[in-house]
Amino acid sequence: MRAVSLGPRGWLRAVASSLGSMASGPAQEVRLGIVRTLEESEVVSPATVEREWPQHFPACCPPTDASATQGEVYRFVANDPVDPKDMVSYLEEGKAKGRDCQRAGLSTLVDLDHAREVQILLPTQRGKRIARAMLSVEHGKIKQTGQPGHYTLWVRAKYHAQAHTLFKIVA
Amino acid sequence: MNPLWEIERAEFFSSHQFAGLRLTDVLVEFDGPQIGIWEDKSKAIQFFGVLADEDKHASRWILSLTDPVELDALYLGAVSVRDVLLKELVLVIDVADDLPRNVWRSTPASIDEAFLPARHALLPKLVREAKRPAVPDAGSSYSIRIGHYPAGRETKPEHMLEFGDLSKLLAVKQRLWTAAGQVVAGNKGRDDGTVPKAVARNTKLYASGARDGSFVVQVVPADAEMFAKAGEQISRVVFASDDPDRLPIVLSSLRRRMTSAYTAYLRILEKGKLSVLTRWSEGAFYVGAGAARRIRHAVSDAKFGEKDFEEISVRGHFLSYTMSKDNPDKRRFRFYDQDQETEYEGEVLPNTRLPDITVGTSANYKVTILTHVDVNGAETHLLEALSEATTTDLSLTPPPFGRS
Repeated sequence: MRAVSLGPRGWLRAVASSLGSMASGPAQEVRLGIVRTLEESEVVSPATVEREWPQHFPACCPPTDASATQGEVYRFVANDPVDPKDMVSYLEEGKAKGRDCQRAGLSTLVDLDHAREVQILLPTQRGKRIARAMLSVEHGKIKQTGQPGHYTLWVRAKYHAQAHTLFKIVA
Repeated sequence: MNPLWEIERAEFFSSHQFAGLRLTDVLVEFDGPQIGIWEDKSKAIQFFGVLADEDKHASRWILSLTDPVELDALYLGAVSVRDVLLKELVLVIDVADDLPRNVWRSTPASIDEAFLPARHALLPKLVREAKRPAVPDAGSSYSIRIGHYPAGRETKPEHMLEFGDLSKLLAVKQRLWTAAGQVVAGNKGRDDGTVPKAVARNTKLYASGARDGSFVVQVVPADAEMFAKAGEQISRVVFASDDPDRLPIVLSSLRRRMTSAYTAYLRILEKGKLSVLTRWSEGAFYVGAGAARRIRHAVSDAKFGEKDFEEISVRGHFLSYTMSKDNPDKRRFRFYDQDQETEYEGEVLPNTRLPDITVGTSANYKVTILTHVDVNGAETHLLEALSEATTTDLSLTPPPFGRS
């Protein structure tokens, strides 16, 4: 793949072109290269760009209205210490349909009392432990989704494989 | 991931019958929907569902029929998630790719505790706050919302609420409130068990209207503070009703009159298939038709043995008093309790000496009646003693709002 260097008009054309083929892998790579080229005003080869988000994330995910992670989040986990299997998203497990971007993220709660309230209600989570992660902006994006108190966490690619190490058992 | 549990003692349905069933409102999710509202294709029938188990092939949900009144009660924290879920009959549904695959009809008793929400757990506070139904109008924050299953869809008798049931419900509602008010009054109540005039007066409930679009009676309490305190007492019993350890303790702290009134209330709900959400500005309580029978049995087991009777003292007049020609000791009576506007009908306790009795409103009496309600709801009343009531014994409740 050749390097691209685009002026503002070229960038608009390229975005329009990439939106038409967002579903395929290579198109995402091209789009990523374009964005970096525009932001950094330099010529970048997409092949050398480190992927910001894990490969299984759909296009445009996380959503643009997600916020940078900053603060503590809680997650129900089956293992103590927390294991990579505790960090498998709904999408990776291949469960259900729809809302792919949300399914690619991890369910978290931002309040321990709320987490406890939720846990005793849910037969599928009741035997689990509650783990806490202290996140900073570099770790990813987060957005309140579904019912109040529930947040979807998207961990950046560089932390994804080790996401379990961010979490420590608290309850 | 757990292997899905074995379904036992359950009737299998074709999933074709439930092909249109969809999860329409997710109330709690964590790595996917966990608690939510399901609707059939027509959107006329609602189910409340909890994800009970899952494996890599399917999610197993427990569903039970619900209605808007019950859901409002859930959102107000007036009923637990488990109580909404565990009706006499429940559906167990395996869902794959968001579609029902296998459907069984089961009973709560056949489902292991591990697959149920914890007892007494309410919907999380944040969810309740988001879903909390608004108080309809300023100044009318007291209401009795009546649900009736199956209601409203067709004008067949079984789909409508009988006036008789409605009348009984509202009467027993007053009786329950008066009894709870007497609990609130505590030692200020009379030693002989009669309802103090102030309690009878302050616990009076008045209907100010029925709201449009649903069966909601707007209530004006004679004394708002007493209404709330009495409501809290009733809430205590309602919330303890599914806890065999706590229920006897709560009941033992109450006057027997309240237990009797609560039992009568449950019986009306069960018979009329009624669900009632009672709400005031600070609280709410709810009993559904499905739970009424179960709770009534629990109350009966907790409080009454087969031969236990409740002794109550009431004031009013005789509606009838008859004696068998063959056996003079076999006497029957009907007595009108003016404080609670309730009739008692039964026999005079054998070997009870009574003075000559005048029937009608011209003669007022204070009587002691032994009452017993068995598990089937049959009431037995025995007249144990009586005395003529003086004028000061009579409750002279002023008419509400200047009406003459």
